[in-house]
Amino acid sequence: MLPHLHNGWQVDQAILSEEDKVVVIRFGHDWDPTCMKMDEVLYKVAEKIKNFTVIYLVDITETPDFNKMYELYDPCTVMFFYRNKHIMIDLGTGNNNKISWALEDTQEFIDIVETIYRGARKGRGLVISPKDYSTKYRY
Amino acid sequence: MNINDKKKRKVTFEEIDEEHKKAKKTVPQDTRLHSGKYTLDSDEDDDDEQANANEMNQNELDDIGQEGATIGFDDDVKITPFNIDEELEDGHYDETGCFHWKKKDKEEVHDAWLDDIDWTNVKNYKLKNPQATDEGLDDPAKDNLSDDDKADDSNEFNEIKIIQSMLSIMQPGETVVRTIKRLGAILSTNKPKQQGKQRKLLPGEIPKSTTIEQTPEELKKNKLLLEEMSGCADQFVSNGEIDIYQETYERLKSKLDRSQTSTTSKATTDSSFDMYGDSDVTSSTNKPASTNTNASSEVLWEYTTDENSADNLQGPFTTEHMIRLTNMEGKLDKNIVRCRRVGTQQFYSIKRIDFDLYLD
Repeated sequence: MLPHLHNGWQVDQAILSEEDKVVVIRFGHDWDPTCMKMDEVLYKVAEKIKNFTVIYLVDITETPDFNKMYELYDPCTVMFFYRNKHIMIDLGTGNNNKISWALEDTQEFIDIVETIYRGARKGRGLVISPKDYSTKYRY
Repeated sequence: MNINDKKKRKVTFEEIDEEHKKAKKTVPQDTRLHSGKYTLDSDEDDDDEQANANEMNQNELDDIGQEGATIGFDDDVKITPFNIDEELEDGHYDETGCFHWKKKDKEEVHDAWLDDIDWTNVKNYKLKNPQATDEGLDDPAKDNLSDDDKADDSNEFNEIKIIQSMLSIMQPGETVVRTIKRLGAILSTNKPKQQGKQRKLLPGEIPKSTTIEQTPEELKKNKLLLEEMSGCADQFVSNGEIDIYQETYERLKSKLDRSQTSTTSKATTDSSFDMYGDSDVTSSTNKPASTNTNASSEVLWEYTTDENSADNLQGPFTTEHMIRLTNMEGKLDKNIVRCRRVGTQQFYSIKRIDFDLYLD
């Protein structure tokens, strides 16, 4: 099971206390079909990327603290943080802040997180995802 | 970062962008680059750049309805006149009504350390030690450290030696930053100052036993270790290896093993070529370099223009090679060529791969 965070304080602490891993947070609802798909991918990759990543799940009804700040209006949103800094990723969709759909391919997700990890360690605030998602998901 | 800045500016910050362009034309010295800030939402930044914009003239200020200074005090209550005289001493308003702080006089910035330098001493030192380079001058203490240090040219970055001394301080499984933290934590918990500050225990609370009791000698040793550790790490950083703080004990160890084997192989090849004198330097220096790249778990790439057929596959290439290829105009068609790391399945367009990230 992937760990859940149950309030804003826990989310804050999870983001800012991690020193050398990418913090991946999935905002959404466990019962949401989109989230279910995403969670399945996250669950599959968690073990493989545990050396440089921690993954948390946040229920946006239980913890609405970030909904406004991060504009969490989609059923499923995945965001990335490194050393208390939000890492942006150019997915080709026009929104560099988050992945707001369910990825289906585990390798794609691993590649994205690895790119983020490498970029963040080099001090980048924005990295380019290896795959361009513009054709499939447009805003 | 740069790409994004541009993109983002185009999408949402069109107006600001134009203002910047205008500002750049008028004040070429004070561009974003020179100011060293590049956050999108930095207000200060904009202020800086428009410092030369027109000031709001006195008539306009008067129109607002200012009053002169009246009585200073009404009994004990201080009366502040309704005007902006005081504010105008610190800066000015531009024509749009934005306040600009006066630029600080550069002469105001003093560096006590810089002022303290006795330049005649520096010159004398240089005369006495003509072989000392500028680098040595920065830290004269370094030169009197110890004789053996001097023997192997203290100015040169001696990776093996530094890693060895770092490993002797670190514990297995630790990263460099954790080691420094550990040493620092021991020091700070033992500081007498902090112990005085420690809060009183609540009734029923058990006193924390985190403070490790240490004798003054141990503390002193600890401090020396900490200084040595951070010094070593700093040498790495100044040598361009900024990731050193994240290196683990194990990785440093394998790095050490690698560089030791490469130098020994260099030594053996050197001696075997001894009879030819120093004419064969190239062959002896090339060899350790190649073993180095093979030993490290370097990322290799292969690319293709048609990912469905295996015949087209080019590679494997090192990351450096890929960077060269992509930088060469017309060598690779960025819209067609797709690449992947050797050992992975999926191909990605090379225009979306940032090869710089894979350089260590």
